[in-house]
Formats: sequence, C-alpha cells, structure tokens
Amino acid sequence: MVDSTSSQAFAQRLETLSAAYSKRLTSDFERLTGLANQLATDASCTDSLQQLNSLLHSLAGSAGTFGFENLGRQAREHELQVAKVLKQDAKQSLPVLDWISQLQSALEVDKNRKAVVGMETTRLESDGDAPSIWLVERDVMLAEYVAQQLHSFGFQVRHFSDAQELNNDKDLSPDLLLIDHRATQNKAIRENPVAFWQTHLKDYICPILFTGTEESLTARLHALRSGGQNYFVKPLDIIKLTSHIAQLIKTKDSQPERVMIVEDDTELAQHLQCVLEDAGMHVSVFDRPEPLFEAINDLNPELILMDLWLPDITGSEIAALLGQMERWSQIPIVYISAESNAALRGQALLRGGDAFLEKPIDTDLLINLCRSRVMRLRKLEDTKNRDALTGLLKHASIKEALQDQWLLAQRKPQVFSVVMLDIDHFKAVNDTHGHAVGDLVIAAVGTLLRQRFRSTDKLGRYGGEEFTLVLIDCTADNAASMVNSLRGDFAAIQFTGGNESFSCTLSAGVVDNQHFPDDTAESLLNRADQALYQAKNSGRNRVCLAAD
Amino acid sequence: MDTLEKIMYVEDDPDIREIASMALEDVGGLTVKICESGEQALREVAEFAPQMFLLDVMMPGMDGPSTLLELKRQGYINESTVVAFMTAKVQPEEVARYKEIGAANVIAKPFDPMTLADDVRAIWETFHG
Repeated sequence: MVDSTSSQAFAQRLETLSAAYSKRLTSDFERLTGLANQLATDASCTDSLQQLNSLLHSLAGSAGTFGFENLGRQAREHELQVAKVLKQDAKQSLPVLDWISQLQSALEVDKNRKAVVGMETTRLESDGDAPSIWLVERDVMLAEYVAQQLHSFGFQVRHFSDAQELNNDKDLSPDLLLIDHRATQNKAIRENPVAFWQTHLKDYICPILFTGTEESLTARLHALRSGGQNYFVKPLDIIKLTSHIAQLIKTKDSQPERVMIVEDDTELAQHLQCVLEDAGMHVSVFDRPEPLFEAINDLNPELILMDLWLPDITGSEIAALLGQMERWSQIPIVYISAESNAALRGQALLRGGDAFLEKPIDTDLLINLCRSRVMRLRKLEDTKNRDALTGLLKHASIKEALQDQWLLAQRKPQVFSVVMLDIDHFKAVNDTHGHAVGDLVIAAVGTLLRQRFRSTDKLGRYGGEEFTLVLIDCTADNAASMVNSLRGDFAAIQFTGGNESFSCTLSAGVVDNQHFPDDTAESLLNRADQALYQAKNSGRNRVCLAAD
Repeated sequence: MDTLEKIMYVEDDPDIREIASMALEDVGGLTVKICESGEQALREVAEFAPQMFLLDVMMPGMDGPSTLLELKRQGYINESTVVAFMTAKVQPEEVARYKEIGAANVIAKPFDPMTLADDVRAIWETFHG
C-alpha cells in the first residue's frame, strides 16, 4: 500500500498536521480560559457549559490522534464532569481554571514524549519552597514550554494569559514576574504601553523581566521604563533566561551587605547603625582608625562609611591608606560631612572614595547609596571570579574559597564538606552532539547547583565538566544525600541534540573536615577527588564517601 | 463479498477530517468522500454511492445517529451497506444503542492514523463474513 518514499512523505505530512494541531490547541486553550471566566461569573450559564462540553469533547476525540494522548484522556475526564453538571437542575460550579492547568500539564507530558526542541524534563511536581515565577504570556503553547523548562530548574510557575488577570490576585506575590510586553487585550497598551505597565505593575516589588519579539532600543527602553530589569528577545534562549532568573532571585535573598562605619560622633554613629541595620545590613562601628585596620580582614566589609574629619586623621587619608592595600583598594567609600566646599570635596574624592553624604543625612539616600555601591562591588567581583557559562566560581576562586573556609574552621570549629562532581561520559556528548550542546549541559549543571544550594555554600566550576562544592555546616552524610538528590534531578533532564534527545548522569565524591581533622584544605580536595574516582570506577552515576 | 473501495466519511472537525483522509486514502488505499456535516453527506450521497459510511457521532446540527436515520429514510442504506460510528464515548450501552439503530460497529476516538484503515476493513469484513 505504502512504499518507503511515500511513507516518508506521509510521515512528513503527519508531522505538519501535528504541528498545525499544536497551533490550534493554543486557540482551544484560549477559548477554555474565556469560558472559565464566563463560568466564574455565572456558574450555571447553560450556553457556556454546552460550549465547554463540546470543546472538551472535541479535544478528547482528536488530541490522541495527533500524539497528545494524555491531553485527550484528561479532556475526556472533564467532559464527563461537565456532562454531569449539565443534567443538574441546580448547577454546581466547576473548577475550570484548575482543569486548564491539569490539561496543560497533560499536554506537557505528551510534548515531553514527543521531545520537540531544546531541553525538556520529566520533573513537574511543584515544591512548596520553590521560588514562584508568574508568567504573563498570551501564547499558551509558549507559556507551557517556558513554564515546563523553569520547572526543571526548580521554579514554580503560574501562568496568566492577560496582564489584567494579575490584578485579580492582590494577596499573593511572586518572586519574579516574566512578562510578554504585549500580553493584554486592553486597548490602553496601544496608546501608552509604559503607562499601562506602570499602572499594572505598581504593586509588585519583585524583579520584573519583559519578553518580546522586537529587538530594538525602543522596546528595551519601554521595558526599562515600565519597571523591567531586563528585556529578553524571542525566541527565548531558555538556558540564558533561567540562569539570569536564578541569579536575580538569589541576589534577593543573598547575604546582607557588610558595612563599616568610622565616626567619632557616637550619637551620629549609633543613628547610622540603626538606620542601616533596619534596612537589613550588617554594621560594625569604629570611632578611631586603628581598630578598623585590625578588624577589617575579619569583618570583610563591602562598604566603608566614614566622617571626612576625624581626630588626628582625615577620612581621605584613611581612604588613601586602604588604597595601598591590594585587598581593599576597590572597596566603596562614602564620606559623611558637613562640608559643602566643592574644592575640598573634590580633593577628598580624588584621594579615594565614591560619594559624599551631607549632614543632616537623608536616610533613604544613605540606604540606597550603600545598597547600590555594594551591588556594584558584588557585580565586579562576580565578573572577576565567576565562570561566564555557569555563573559558578572559577577554578582559582573556588580553591581560595575552600582555603578561606578551612582557615575559618581552624579558628572556630565548624563542620564543612567538600564535593567533587563530574558529568559522566561528557566527552561522548561533545563528540556526538557538538560543543554547543555540551556547553548547554554544563550550564544546566551550573543553574541546577545554584538553585539547589544555599547562598552561603561555595560552588565552583573546577574545570571542564568538573565541579567543586564547599558546603558549610554540612556533614559528609548530609552532603552525600543532597548531592544524590541533585544527581536524580539532573538525570531526569532531557537534552536535545539534533533530533535526538538524551540525558546525562553525574558522579561525585564527598568528604568532610570532621572525619579528617588533620587534613589541609588541599588534602581534603584530594580525598574528594579520590572518592569521585571511586564513584567513576564502580560504575558512575553515583555518590561515594571518602574512605577513612 | 465485494472489496471495500468507496467510503463516505462525515466529520465536523477539520483537523480530524484531514488526518483521517490521509489514514484512509494514503495508508489504506481507499476512495474517500469527505463531508463536513450530515447535511452535506445527504446532498452528496447519491452521486458518490458509497459502500460504507463512517459517521462521527457528535456534530453540530445533524449528529451521527440522525444522519444515519435520514440516510435510511431516503433509502441510501441497503443490506450490503456498512455503517460505523466514530466517537470518543465508547461505553457498552452506547455501543449497543448505536448497533440498534443500524451501526455495524463503533470506532473509538482518538484513533491511530496508522491503523484506522485496518479497523475500517475489519468492520467491513466482519459484516460481510
């Protein structure tokens, strides 16, 4: 009946049809959402119920034929429920919005099986502690795809198809908003998009990212003015996007800013300390320069706030001294002074220092200034110390972090673990799928690690496909169980190279400083490496503890 | 027994029509007349003279069963004409009801496009066997 050439053509036509059907599903989901809204206002509207029934019926009957079996089955279940309600005299209200998300999950499972593009995963369960992202996107299929990708990196995603729906839910707030810059039917957006978004987003304090198809300065500027921190052009590079999101969300709950104050006016010093501590910063106060220089290495400040005039020494002299010490030459310095003489101020700034605050001090300005300077310093450190592909510490920095941690534990007993982690058969990934796909796998490990561990843990890319973790307050047993669960998650991620989908596994070796109290930092690292070697030799895809 | 060649297929969903016509014509090698409604089927049936009808059950306007009843009333169903319904609802009592009004069998939706023609032929052969 069908010879091989025409069967190939047939397969192609089938694929085309299936793609066309995917598009139609988008409008079906939109219709479902519309009906859900109508039924939310009037649960017993027979017309809407009948439309819902026939839409679900048609999904139940057609989805499976195009390879969306789970979606079809799910639609069938809901169709039966609607049919039941249609027979009732007093019509009970139906959770249609919940159904839509169930249908979308089912569709996702089907699409995973079809392994369409990019990177997909089987992890779909939501996690109560996971950071929540609200996605505002008109294209339901795209929304589903993005949601599912974000799920695999441990985010919870809630989808809104129109920005106006955001305002229905004032009580909850997300950790991040990801918004298509045209995601609304509201006409106001055509006249003044910036005003529209400003009004709709004014109650959200979380980071906001915009997406859109236009790559233009205007689009970026509009996004910025609308309150967005960044603008991503479609088609979205999911790996870049997740990595960016992970960093934004981490920054939010990262460590407090460490500030040192040098001020001989005790009352003013206490006031400044109060203000900054209320803003969530760690503050230490000194009234003279000597103890400052003694304590600075331990306190490891990120900003120094000091009076321009101190007994026996000026603030700009302290700044110049700090500038001579390599470690502190880049630290932001903010002067406090009653000095409004422009020439003197200029001189002080020239000798080191970043900004002036005049007395009486505007506390909002103080807080903002401190925050922005520390943020800038952290960014600078990050570009210096972090690997661009993964956002993890570079080789030298992770070794330094291990050394610092080891030193700290010598002075103040504290347990920590060292983990060496390696992607199994990574060379084969590069050889089969090319380096671009290999990089994607490495970047995914980076994002997963940053999602999984605390901001106090030190995570590094040791080199190539090898990673080093320094986990604080963590025994080897705990570390092993955390890494094991990470190993499971990573194995569940589906990568796509060409038309083929594949997954990768990890091996790891774990050691802690408690079992080997006489070890140096270097020898702990060697033990972790030996344990990794053992994991590789005993079959890979496993975690081994260092032997006594 | 005649070989099954001409089949009339009535289905309101355009995507399903398209894939079913591929399944029946390209995979199954049958000659298919596709109609988007019961009304269209009634208009075209005389000229096409199908050996078999494949009717979707739930359609707006005339549904599958009423199309069948009307085809019967107008005399287009003889003792060798085979009728099969297609539906997502395949509960035993429904199948029984469709058989009562003259269907040879019921094909469950969603169907597999690669085996649909085989299923249709199997119904044809059972009916004539």
